[in-house]
Amino acid sequence: MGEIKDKSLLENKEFLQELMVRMMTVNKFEEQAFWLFGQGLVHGTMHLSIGEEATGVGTTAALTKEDYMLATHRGHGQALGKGVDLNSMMAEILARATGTNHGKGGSMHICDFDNGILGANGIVGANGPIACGAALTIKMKNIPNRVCAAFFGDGASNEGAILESMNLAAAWDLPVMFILTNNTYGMSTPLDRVVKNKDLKQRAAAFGFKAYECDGNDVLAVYETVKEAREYVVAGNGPVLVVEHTYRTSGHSKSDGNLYRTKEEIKYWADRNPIIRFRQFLTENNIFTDEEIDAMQASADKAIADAIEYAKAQPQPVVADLEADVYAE
Amino acid sequence: MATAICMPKNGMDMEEGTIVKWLKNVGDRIEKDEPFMEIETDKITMETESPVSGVLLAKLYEDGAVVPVLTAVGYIGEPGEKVPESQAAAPAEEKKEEAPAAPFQTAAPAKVLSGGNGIPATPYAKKLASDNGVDLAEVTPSGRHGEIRGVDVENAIHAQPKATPLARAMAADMGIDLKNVTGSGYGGKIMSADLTPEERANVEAAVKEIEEVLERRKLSGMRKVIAQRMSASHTEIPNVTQNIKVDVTELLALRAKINQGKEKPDKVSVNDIIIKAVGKATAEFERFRMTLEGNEYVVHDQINVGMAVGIEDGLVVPVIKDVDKKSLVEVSKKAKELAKKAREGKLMPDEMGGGRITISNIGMYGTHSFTPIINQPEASIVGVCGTEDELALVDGEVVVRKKMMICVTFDHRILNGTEVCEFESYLKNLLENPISILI
Amino acid sequence: MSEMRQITYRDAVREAMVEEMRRDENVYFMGEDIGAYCGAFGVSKNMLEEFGPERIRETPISETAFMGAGVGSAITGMRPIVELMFSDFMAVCYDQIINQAAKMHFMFAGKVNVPMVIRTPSGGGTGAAAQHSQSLEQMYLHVPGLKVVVPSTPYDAKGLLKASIRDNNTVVFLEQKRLYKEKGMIPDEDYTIPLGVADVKREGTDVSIITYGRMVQMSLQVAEKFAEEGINAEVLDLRSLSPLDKDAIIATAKKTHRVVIVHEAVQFGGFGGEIAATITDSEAFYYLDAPIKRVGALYCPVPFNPVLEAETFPTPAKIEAAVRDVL
Repeated sequence: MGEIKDKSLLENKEFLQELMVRMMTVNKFEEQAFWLFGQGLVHGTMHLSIGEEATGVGTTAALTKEDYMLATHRGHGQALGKGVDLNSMMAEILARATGTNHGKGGSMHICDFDNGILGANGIVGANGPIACGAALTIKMKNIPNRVCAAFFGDGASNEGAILESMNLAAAWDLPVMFILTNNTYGMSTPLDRVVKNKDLKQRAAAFGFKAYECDGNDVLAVYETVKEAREYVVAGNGPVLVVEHTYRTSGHSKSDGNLYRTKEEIKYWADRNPIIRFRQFLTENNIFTDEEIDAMQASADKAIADAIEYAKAQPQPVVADLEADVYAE
Repeated sequence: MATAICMPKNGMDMEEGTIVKWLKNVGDRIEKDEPFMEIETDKITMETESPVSGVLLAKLYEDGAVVPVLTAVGYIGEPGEKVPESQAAAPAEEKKEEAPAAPFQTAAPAKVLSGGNGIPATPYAKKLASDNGVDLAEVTPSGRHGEIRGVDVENAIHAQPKATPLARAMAADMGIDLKNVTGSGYGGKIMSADLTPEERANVEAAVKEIEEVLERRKLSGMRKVIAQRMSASHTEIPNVTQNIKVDVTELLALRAKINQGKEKPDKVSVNDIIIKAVGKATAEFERFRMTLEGNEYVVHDQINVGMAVGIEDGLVVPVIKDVDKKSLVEVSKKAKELAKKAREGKLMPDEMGGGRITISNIGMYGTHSFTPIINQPEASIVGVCGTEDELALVDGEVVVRKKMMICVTFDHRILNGTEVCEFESYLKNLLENPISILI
Repeated sequence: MSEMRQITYRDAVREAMVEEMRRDENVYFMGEDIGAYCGAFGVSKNMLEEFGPERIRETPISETAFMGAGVGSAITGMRPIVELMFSDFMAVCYDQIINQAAKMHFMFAGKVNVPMVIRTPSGGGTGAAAQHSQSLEQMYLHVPGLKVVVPSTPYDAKGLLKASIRDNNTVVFLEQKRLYKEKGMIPDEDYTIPLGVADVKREGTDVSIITYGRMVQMSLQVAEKFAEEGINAEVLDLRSLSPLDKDAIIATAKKTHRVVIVHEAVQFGGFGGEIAATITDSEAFYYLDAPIKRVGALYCPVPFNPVLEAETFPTPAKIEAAVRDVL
């Protein structure tokens, strides 16, 4: 783990525990979602973020409840960190009527407007422009201490939508935080094959705004970086780009057979995943013992098991409601 | 308890996978998340990891097997644990309910308009034709493709003679062309009544070649009414006629005795006695005094007996009231009086209504038997036939007896066969023991 | 009885925007060159002076970015009017319109509204050639969640735009470029026209011309010509394509028994097919005295040459021929 800037964090055991539990919860959610899918209980497909837990948890820990956030199709961790109800999210991926989207959205569209989650998007890159819009509202209504964070990946960063929205946010000084989670692969294409300039943070400079960068598998580094960046944005300095370097251990989606990378590579990163690293950090710095951390794992496991039980008991949507909500009143 | 390990469903449309290679043998230890077999789907080859730690207890399929998704391929558990016998398909922990397909909303089937029979016509033309009883085969089309258009049907309608909707419908029913009908309504409008004589005329016109018509007579008032009423009685009532032969030898003898010394105007007729007998029988059998009104049987207590009287150009049925309260002589007197009035056309309405049963005596013509028509709303009619000689064996000797057929037509809605049999039996008894009629 | 005054279609659109922006501070207007330049078609004249650069917000040439910004601000409490300079450019930012704006209310279980109006000049006849002359209403109509409005007169334009701005859904407002300078009468008082209500522009008995947009004028001209022959044509202006006034369509077909559908969009795959099916799949079918005819643009990109261009689109002669065909 890297150097921590704010040493007082080390005293904040409650906060550190919360970070760990959240990461474990995300990890367990993804793992169990994988199994539920394998049992034929989840319709469609899923995009799991195993190995990227620190980006979702670390970033959202630095945002307020009211901050707007646009999540990605790989956004269970982002939503969880931002405060979505675990049971409701589980119910949604099981397509139940009481899921976050009443069964009409699914894994890729999780939303929770009370917690500022303006929806997860299935179109990579679409988050950029929409975030500009939410940031525009913040600006036009003079809402203090508020930002809009838009998650997108290294693959999406080449979408015209992202480039346009970076330019627009810069031109209009919009309080957007472009959160680029570089997990090394698009769907299956590694970064170095799709860009000339691998130093993605330079894109911000091209459009005239500030960029930050961090080890995306170091949850505290992510947290501190995003916190600092957020302060910068809230001070009225326009948008920022935060590049978080991480690695996706799970396949792109359920039909990914990992043919584009080696097992050795996956194992290498799996051994260095954010949870293992944070555990090492906490124990080495005598903040928590292994037993205490095991207890955290147990609580995360239980929360997920409970969520699955809850979700399975939820009712299916009613066919008669199918066409409801095409239009607003 | 051993955990089943299954062929995973790794894609929405994946239905089966092939076990390329088991990575573990029975008895080997497997850790949670450790790959235990390599599978091939139609997209790719991949490894499948174990959900639990334990020992591989059993393999249900070997390398190369094609297994449906979610089917158990083996069991992992503690050494020595029992493996379930049957290879149940992996329990999907609850049944995935298929939301029932919502029935497609289609508009209620619109009324299918008949007519056309393959004649090309626009939907509007067909509708106009159907609504107005126009046969499309009679319409001249003006459409560019030879189709009948709305305006063509409109022209056909205007060329049609004026008629009431009922007349039009009846004509359509009877196959009568209204053009051949003279209307008796205002402005020559064809009424339903105009159709019948024409129909007859058409039929008769067809017959014209075969025979010469002597005379045509219009249906006069009374005949017309009779015709209508008889028609109604015949069609509305499920009528059955039952016959019974009565030995009237004693009756004739008694009559002769009664009439001894009487002048003709005072003589009692056989019919008078029959009236009295029928009156008695009707008093005895309640159902013969019933009328059917809607859904109710109405029982009447007055014994009013009608007698059919043939008159010139028709038939009337004057009614003798309270036959049971009159003596034979009184009945006879009344009968004569009413018959006279009938022939003179002087019957009052109250002398013709209120009958409960009618007697139709055509015995004077020597009729053997017949099926009289019920005089509505009565329950039955008693038909009296002629008297015939018949040989019989009495006390070992061949004698001549006088026999007469009584034919009772009854309304099967009010009476049934058995009841009528009993009535006839009773009546027969009375008539064969005529003294009992008088007491 | 309120005073009526004459106004152009263009000014009627502007008045609607101005009045709604005065009425509701959450309404703002975003697009390319809408400020000092007053908009590509001069619609936003003087608006910058009245409302300032925050609410009359000029954008870079980034349709995806600013259309998405419209969506993002709409779901966080604003009511943007987004001008797409030419309706052909919807292809550039189609994702934000059909995958984002149209679907959010449904995907997010009714928890958010997207009250955005996309105003965009549509149609040809200006010599702008293939990429700047299209009528693409079908591209919006086919996506559940959008509303589509096509006004043909200043009166309709103003009333419908106000209603669209007040609607809580994304409304695509297809202005007709060739009609911007057309004049018409509007009342002084505030009025809106509800979406989903068609307007009989001319009552008739012998044939129904069902149409919208620029073709309404042309159809009325043709109707006047037929009147001289004693043929009385009814002209039904749909005004709103989604929601659609099916009752009015069925009623007019039943009334006259003969239907001609006219639209500027390409005939093949055009909205006329939907209108025709609406008629035949209803009781009106039984009142038809002739097949339903459609007059739409030819199946080819809009050419530059003015004679060719005019022939690509419906003409009075083509409409007349179609009417004669059904009489």
